[in-house]
Amino acid sequence: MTPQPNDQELLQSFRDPATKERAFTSIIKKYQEKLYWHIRRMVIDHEDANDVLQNMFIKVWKGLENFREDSQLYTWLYRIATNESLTFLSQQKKRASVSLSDVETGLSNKLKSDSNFDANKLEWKLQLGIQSLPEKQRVVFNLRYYEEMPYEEMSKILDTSEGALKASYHHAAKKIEEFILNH
Amino acid sequence: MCEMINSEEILNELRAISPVLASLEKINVFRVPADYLNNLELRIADFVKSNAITLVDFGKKNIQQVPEGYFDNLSDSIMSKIRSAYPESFEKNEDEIPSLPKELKNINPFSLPDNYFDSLSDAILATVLLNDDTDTEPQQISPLLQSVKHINVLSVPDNYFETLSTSVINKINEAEIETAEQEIRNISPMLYSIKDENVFTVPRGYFSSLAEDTIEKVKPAPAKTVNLYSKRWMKYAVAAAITGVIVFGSIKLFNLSHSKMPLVAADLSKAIKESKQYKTEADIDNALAKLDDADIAKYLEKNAGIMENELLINNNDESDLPDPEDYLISDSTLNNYLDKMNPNTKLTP
Repeated sequence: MTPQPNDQELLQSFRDPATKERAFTSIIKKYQEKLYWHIRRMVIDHEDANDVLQNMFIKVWKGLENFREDSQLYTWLYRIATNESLTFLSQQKKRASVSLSDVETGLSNKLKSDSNFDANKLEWKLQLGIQSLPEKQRVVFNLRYYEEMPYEEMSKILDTSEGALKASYHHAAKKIEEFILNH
Repeated sequence: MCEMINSEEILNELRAISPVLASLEKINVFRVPADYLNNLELRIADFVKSNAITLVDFGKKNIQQVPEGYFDNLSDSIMSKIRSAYPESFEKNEDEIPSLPKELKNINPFSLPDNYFDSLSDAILATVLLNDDTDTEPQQISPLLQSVKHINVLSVPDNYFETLSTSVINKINEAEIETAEQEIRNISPMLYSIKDENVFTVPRGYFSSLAEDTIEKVKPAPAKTVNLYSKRWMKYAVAAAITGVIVFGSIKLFNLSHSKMPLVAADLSKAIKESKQYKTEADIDNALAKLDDADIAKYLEKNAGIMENELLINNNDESDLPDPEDYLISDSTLNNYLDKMNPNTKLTP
């Protein structure tokens, strides 16, 4: 089996016009699932996640040429994905002209409208509990809980100190646990 | 022994800088001849008197008085005493040094063995090793210990060192993942227990086509231009005008019911026969020259439905178009084409 090219090789290939497209395809295939789930857990709906993901990769296409490599490629990708997700949610807020809590209720309603939704199952209560968190805390919780991302890497993505992230994660986990126990 | 007075503060400072120095006993290593200090003052007074320095009678005279010209002559007086005591310390005047030939400066009177410096390092090392008794010293101290020195009683599993680096890396990685897992387990065992339950569904095949779909969105769409004045396109238009009845007829044949077939087939035969005269590009060009543009346009307008859309819209991509020779010159090619349209009809020229 041909070994996967590393990020350095992909970046080099991307900068060569002859191999740019192939390199970009490889980057998408390498990171699509991780980035998709990161976005999906924020926006809930698959169609919305697909839109955000594609917009995100369009930005990557435009910006990768100037990527300074002062961070890891995937750190940069996660940062864009996070910002795009938060921007999307912010736009939804403005479009609906409703308060934050109503938007969160909207996301909760999206969960509840899923055909497989079962209010008695822990895993669905977990998702509802996550939606009760502020947006950035939601990101912190998802990155640590689902992707087991080290605080050091999370710090680079979210531009927040490791200590603050640890505290945020602990609070988030406790809040969600309390939510589940009370619902 | 000279008594040294030390304040606690200074001692603490020294302790902070160097505990070793601070712990040393303050022992004076300088020796003084016996009875030196006894009657020292009398000996100094005699010395001063014998060297004609006038002592001031402190009890009787003004001690601030100094003989006239004392300081003016003091330096010369001291230097002359030093010169007389240590004549060899003084260099002669340059004038008194005989001048030496300049060439002598670069001549080295000392000789060296051949390759002395090249082999110097090896010679020194050999000497060092010769004098190194690291191996023999234990033997000298304890032959028993020396005899068991190289016997290792501690065993190591097979391939231990070969796999050591890999196992260390794995442990590091496990520790990292375990930390996140352990963390959530400690915070909330309940959350830990449902960690891997995914409630979200994804459409089948989504990820397999995502890359291609995204590439399509980022690539600029190729511009489509229509060149209506392509000479080759015109040739096809001409060919269609000339043999248009064949195309028109064949399509009609394809779509008509059986009852009307014989009539159309007969017309096709006639058209095929007529088209055989146009076998070369020159023939087509001549025919083109005879045809009026308006006629061609009218024909095309009338029979726009017959021509495949690609011929009209994508005529800039001429590589896909068949060569006129392919279906105009060769009867068999044309027949094959017509046969394909309706396998039940066999037309002969």
